Amino acid sequence: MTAADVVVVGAGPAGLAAAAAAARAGASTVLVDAYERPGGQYFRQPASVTRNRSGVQERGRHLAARALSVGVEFRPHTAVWDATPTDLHLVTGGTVSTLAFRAAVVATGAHERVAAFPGWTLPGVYAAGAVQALLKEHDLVPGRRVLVAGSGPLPLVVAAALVHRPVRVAGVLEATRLAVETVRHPWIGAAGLWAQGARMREGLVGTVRLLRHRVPVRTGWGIVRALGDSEVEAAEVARLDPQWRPVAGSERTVECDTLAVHHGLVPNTDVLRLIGADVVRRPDLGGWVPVRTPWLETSIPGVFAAGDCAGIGGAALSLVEGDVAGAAAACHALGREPVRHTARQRAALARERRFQRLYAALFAARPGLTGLPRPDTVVCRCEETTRGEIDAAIAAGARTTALVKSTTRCGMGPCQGRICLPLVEQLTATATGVPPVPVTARAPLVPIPFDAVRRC
Amino acid sequence: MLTSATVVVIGGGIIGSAAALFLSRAGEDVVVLERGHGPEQASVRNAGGVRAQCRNRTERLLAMASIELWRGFARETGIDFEYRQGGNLRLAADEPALRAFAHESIDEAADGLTTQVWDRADLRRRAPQVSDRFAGAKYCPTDGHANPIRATWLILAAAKRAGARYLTGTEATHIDVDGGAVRGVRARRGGDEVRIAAPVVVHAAGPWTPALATPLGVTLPVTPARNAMLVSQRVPPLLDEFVSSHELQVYLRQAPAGHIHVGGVFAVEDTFDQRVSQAELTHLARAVEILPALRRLTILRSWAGTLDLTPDHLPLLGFTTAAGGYLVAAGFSGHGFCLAPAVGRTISELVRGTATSVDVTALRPDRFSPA
Repeated sequence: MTAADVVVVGAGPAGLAAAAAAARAGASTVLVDAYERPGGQYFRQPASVTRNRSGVQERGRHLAARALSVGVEFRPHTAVWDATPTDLHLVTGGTVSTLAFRAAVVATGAHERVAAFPGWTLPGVYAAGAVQALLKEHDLVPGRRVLVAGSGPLPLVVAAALVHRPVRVAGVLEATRLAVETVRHPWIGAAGLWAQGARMREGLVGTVRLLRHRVPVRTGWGIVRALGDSEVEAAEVARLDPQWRPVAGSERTVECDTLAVHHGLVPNTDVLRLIGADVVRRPDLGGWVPVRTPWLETSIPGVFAAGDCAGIGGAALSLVEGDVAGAAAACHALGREPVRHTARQRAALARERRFQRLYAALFAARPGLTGLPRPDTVVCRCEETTRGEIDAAIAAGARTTALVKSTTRCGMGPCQGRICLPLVEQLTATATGVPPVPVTARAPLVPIPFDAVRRC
Repeated sequence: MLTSATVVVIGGGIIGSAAALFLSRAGEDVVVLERGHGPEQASVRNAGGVRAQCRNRTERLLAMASIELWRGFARETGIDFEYRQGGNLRLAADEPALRAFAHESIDEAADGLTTQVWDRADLRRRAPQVSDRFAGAKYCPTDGHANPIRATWLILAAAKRAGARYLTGTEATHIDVDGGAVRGVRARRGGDEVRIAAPVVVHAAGPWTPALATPLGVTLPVTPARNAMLVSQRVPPLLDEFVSSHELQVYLRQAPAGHIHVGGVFAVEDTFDQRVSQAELTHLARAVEILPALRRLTILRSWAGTLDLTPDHLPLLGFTTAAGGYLVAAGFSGHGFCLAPAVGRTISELVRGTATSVDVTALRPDRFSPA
């Protein structure tokens, strides 16, 4: 077994900032990430060193280099499969190890929220984030005619990146009617958007670029279903009401061979819940999020949470949260009083949390999304559980997510319910009116070989 | 809320539901109090073993009766709760263990239960996928396993159809006794108090049973204990039998969907904590020593349930002497799922005062009290 003063889980913006801050404060610091290169989704680095990096990738590389230069030990290809308030159990390419810590910063980011519309399991339907990852890491574009749909800045960013590639962007659909909502919330204005949030700014730059390339951008529209026998041939789209419900009679068909869909992000709290941190349900922040002190410490002393895993807030908020949590974790590990936030941190936290509220008001998932799956639509891909089976379980008396899961097997496959359980939770809560309770996190968080566990 | 019934059942798990089913069918007006939103504890967290071999005699008779009832449920409802009589295979580490199996097999035959004792060569031939480290095994072809979640919900649904009223999200808080006899149960539902007047209370709340029994002067020697399980990725059919080794302290079965479920013949005592520890996972992974094919597979998930252990690992089943009309059905020590149908029928017979189809006097709840 090895030990560190501070261990940081996840090498995205929050994790990189946290590891650097902890190491600078004098703590021996280990940073683990499931991928080969640090950066997470936002700073995802190209697979080939010879390729040019984008500005964002360049910043990510710089951050990672800075963390390593102050003494952070980076362990790539390393996933957490079990965790307690004192130890992380890691798996690196089929080999397990244990890492004891005095303090931990969990910066595990988020998953994309999946809308289960009819046809979403057809080949050719991608999460927009997956399309972005292919672009960033391998410079690959799936398909020839892409329709981008969903909500938030990411679809715009992805579509804007696609216009420079050998691919036709058939259109971009934003579920929220931005113009109307901007009037409804006077504090949401173009100027406000511009001033806040790197990703939002990227989105607006993207919109301008899309318009210049004559890509139709519609707001208040969304995907209803994907059409095709063995792969995507077209998409049925419709105008949406303010709750994102399709307006009957407004349906149209858009030809495309690829759909890039994104309906926001869901905080990844698996490691936090496994350690035992208390979580609360905050739909505005993407789902279940840990309860935290001003130093971003969770209900488990010495365990801190930073970035999107503690509530969707984007890269800029993640950076400042990582900075705060990393320094606080080092203080905890070394037995010092926590340092006060600097004026710069206070200002950045206030600014980015304003952006977080704005993002939530505009783009947090709305009830119409839950209405898209039909009885024969698969909701859980791993176990092939349909909407109809879930509804039947609820009708038979399963009134919580855990009961629906246990009676239908949805969420019991290799992905551990990361994709389907937020939707199942919404379906169950809507049908029963019972306030949701979080599903228990269980080891192993990632599938792990019997032989490896036996030799623990 | 105020209501009345002829029987109140505390606990809507598989034991409580089986009791509610047979009581309702016998014409009783039954209310079931369940503090959760449905069966959430040991009833749906066990391995689903349905086994008559290698048991204490009373349990053997209950298990044999249950197997008949399980077969009946499958036939009558047409619902597939994945019940398969694929056999139960108990592995022997050495020759003395095998000889003990042979003696047990004679007792079992006397009760009408057919089992076979396999030597090393038989085991190699009949179950080549099992490791060759074992000296032999005892095999009971009529034993098997089921999906405990589906089976529990099936019994619950049958109880409701028979007329039992379920109050979920309703936690029993007091058992009211007056003049030496049960008068009813008080419960909490959200912020409201619920009172159910009834002359009979069936207490089937697993490891949580002693808490409400103590105020009646009834001491139930039930210890909570954690029992962990894990499940592999899906694989093509490898195993019909439910296999166990008491030497390695693990058991396993393959569910029809292809996952291999592994559980432990051990428990971490004196805890309601259901977090699975590293030590337990490491122990369960020893299942590869029974089934070497597991080596190449990955573990997908783990979970744990809370057992209700008694000193002799046998249930507490029957009326108590402390208060008239107070019947305890708890302390099943991990055997409750398999035995539930026959236990439910026996509870109904005890409450109705008719002859019991299985003699359960050996399981009386006050057997540990000084006479």
